[in-house]
Amino acid sequence: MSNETISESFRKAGMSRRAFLKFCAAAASVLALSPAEAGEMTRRLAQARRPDVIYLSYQECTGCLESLTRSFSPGIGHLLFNDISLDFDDTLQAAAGEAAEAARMTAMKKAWGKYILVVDGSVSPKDGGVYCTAAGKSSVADLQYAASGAQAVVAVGTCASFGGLPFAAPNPTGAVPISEIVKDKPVINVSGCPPIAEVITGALLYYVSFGVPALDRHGRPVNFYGNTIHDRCYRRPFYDQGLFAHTFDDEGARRGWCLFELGCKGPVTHNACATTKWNGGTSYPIESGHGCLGCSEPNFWDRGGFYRPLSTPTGHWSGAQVLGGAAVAGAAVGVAVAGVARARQNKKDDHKPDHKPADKDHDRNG
Amino acid sequence: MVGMVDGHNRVISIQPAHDPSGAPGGAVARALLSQIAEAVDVYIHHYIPEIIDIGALGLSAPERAILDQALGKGEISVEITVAGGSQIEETQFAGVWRVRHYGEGGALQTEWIEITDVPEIIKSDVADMAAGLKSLRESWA
Amino acid sequence: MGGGTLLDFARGPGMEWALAILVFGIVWRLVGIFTLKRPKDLAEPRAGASAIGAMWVIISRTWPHKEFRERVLHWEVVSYLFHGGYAVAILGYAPHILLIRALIGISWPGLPGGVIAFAAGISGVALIALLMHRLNSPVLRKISNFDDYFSWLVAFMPLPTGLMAYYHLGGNYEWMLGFHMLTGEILLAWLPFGKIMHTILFAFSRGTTGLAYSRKGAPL
Repeated sequence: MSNETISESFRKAGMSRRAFLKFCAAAASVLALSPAEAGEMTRRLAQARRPDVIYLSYQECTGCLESLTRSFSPGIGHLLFNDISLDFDDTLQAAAGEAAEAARMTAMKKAWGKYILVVDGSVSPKDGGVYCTAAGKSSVADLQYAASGAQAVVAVGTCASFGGLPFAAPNPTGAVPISEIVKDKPVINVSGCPPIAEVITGALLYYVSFGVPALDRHGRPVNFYGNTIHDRCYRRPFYDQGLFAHTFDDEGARRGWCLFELGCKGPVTHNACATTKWNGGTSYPIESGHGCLGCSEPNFWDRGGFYRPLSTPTGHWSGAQVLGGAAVAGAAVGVAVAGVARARQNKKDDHKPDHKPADKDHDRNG
Repeated sequence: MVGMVDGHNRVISIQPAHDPSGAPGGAVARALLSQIAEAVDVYIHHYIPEIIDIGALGLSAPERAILDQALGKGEISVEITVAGGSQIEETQFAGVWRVRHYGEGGALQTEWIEITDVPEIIKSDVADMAAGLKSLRESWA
Repeated sequence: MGGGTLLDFARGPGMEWALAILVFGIVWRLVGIFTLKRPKDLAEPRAGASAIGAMWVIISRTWPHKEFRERVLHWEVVSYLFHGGYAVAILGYAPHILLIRALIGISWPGLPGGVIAFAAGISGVALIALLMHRLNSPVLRKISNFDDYFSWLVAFMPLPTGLMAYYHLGGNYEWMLGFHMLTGEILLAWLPFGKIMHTILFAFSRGTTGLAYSRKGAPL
């Protein structure tokens, strides 16, 4: 790790202490820290050694890196990790080929055991790892080597956290999440497709200040993933009153009513979209009129249509075929059973001596 | 013009008809003011500052208006021109400060109410002063 | 992956199988019952016998005759509280309406969530009262069998699980939602094979009784 502190690095980069405080305030707000914790984070960040960050990408679309780098007004996390601390990122840096690989090895060796490894994209162990290779190495081997020298691994995006799109049925490359490969280092999942930029940098900042944050059962920081979208949605009063938009351009949609009927997965999706929002706090999908896709949850691609409400079938089976077939089968069994019953009834009638009404009374009362 | 591009491609403008958030009658604003009062009391007796992050609360426009009216404007207003700018104002109540940080392009990033004698960000840092002194001596020595 | 997997199952194969068994069972029982041989009634129908008039029994039996009211009316009311609350909770709640729309294409406006929760609560309390009555009444206890108690359980379970899901109680919301859907699916799968089939058969039972007595000259 570098010898200078974070605040020294910022001062060298021309940032005053007031700017540093301002950025820390914004970061603390996004992390929903208490005033005491916010103060503590500012103090610790100021005194902490500038961290080394290695960013590696595997089976990914680069959306997570785009989210991270396209913030309108860069926060402290962005400045810290993009401008100051990012020792290697093959997408952002100018170098390529063997020179870039050599630079990566040098950076890793220099900070061996101390760098933070940020990974986006899933990895593919199937068939010896041939489906995702770079510089002659499979993604799995590369990840294992990189993780062995890291102090912690941050899996950015749903692909790295849970397998994401490559993992979706039929998963032809046998993609797996990072946590399936890295077992001996702390792995922090920052899921989302992509995650919000401030969430990525916030998780990194929290780690640099306080260490591994409290994680939920999917390994995601509770600071950001503790609530569902539904819990914090500004359209919740409409849900409670039973006022729903039926199509994307009807009166309900214009009035900003709940999007449950249009397939919103907000009730089962944990993320910070409803509070932190996207693009520097501009908006989030529901506010822009489209239901939540559930992109920060595992297997969200395979959980039925995006426009099918949560209470309806996933759509993997045809109603007409299944129910029609069941009705036909039921009719067939009904007729067969009735046939057996009628045959038995006929046999009983045949054995009776006659059909006097008195016998029927006897049968009923006897 | 919002709503019409031309006769053939009508753009449908979907604006929320009203803001559903915000409790009736300014209940959130009143709760905040009560929290502020408690924090001032604590500072007077124990000198412990407090920060209330109102940006994270998602106040509706009517609630915000009630809060603005209640807090009013005091004697001091400070403008910080760094990284998009910040505005710090003491309200009509001594020790109750409104701190607003703006990003590049003027978007409001963080909004706090700070209960303290002087917000931390206004004060000058000793390390900054040492660097300034060095520079001052070099230029004017 | 915990709760998500249960919800996926409940929205996927669980629902598929439950609905298939429901349709299969109902068609089987109805076809089986209607194709049974009936003893020939060789007597002449009495004067005043009318098929349409006999169907009136289906409606008239929704309320007890004067003679029986003193003994049964209060339990009749409790029973209606259960059935009424159940109907409101199922048919009035938007997520349920959307499920019906996904299956058969028709829908109607829903009620506020608080109304649904209230109706479900009333229904659940009434159902518990009915169980207590069944356990305390010596006659009912004697004639009650596994079908009665199992049907009660299967009908009851969606109520507390639905309320817990609605109020986000009981831990993981996704799991509770999946569990609630599963209890509904168990209800649907069991429906054709036990006492709950009365939801469909009651009309036929009452109608048949009305026809029989009308033929005998003693219209009900």
